[in-house]
Amino acid sequence: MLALKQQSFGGLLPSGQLDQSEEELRPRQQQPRTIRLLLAQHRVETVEQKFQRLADEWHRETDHLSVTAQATAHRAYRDIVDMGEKTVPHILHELQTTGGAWFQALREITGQDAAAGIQDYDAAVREWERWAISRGLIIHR
Amino acid sequence: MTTPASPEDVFPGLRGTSYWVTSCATLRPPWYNCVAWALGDDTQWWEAGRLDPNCHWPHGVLDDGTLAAYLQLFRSRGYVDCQGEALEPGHEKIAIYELAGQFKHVAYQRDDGVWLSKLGFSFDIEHASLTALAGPRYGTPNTIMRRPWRSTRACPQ
Repeated sequence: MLALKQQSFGGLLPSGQLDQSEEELRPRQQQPRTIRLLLAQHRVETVEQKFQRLADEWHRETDHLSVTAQATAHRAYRDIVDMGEKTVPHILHELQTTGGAWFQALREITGQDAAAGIQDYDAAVREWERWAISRGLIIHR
Repeated sequence: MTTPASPEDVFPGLRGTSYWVTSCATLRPPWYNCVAWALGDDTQWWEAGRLDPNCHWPHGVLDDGTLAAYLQLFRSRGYVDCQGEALEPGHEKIAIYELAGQFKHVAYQRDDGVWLSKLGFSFDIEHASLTALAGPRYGTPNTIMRRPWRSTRACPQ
């Protein structure tokens, strides 16, 4: 197996999350075919990349559903919940941009309802942001 | 940011049929679903056995998330089972799609015979045929119900 070396990428990647190896950074045509296959097999996603891949899949597969209990039972949604608290900043960003039934994921991941009793969408997002800041999951918004 | 799929991507049965997209996806509030839309409400998300406390479900109606709960809801609103999707003057109709015993969707028939469907969080569409939405996502429109016309929703002239 190839040894993967962590790159800084201008600080965009959270520490400890591998993305590319030195081999991968070489021009593709210079990589032997076996190396390319190994890289493809051992590609490591960042938390953001994995979240976005699963969120895109979830939207594509469930946006047409009229029962949120069925939508939130989808495998991609369950995988996001299983990723735990590190996905909270990405879920909050998704709530602010695309939208969707993400409050259930926040409640399941955290075991809390930071926006209990709040019916206004934007106010609920703000409450969850305050909660995430207080837990050090996001720095600021 | 996610790009919504087109109705035909999700429901290939729409290809080659008459249908019209009448509103965009509603991934942000106000959220409403097909159940709300069939009952003339575009301000709330109606769901039985709901996980989200902000969803709406009327008191006194079975609230366990089963198909029976949705059938009871529509019966409580004056709908009774009937045969056939053909337009019947003086009546409004709904068609309930089910898959593997689960409620999946409800379409509402306007007084010109066209069916109205809110596709979950996604588009509102008008479609000429119920079978256009049938398939692995919504199952089949096994239950047709009707009630004497009471809706305020009229056919656009």
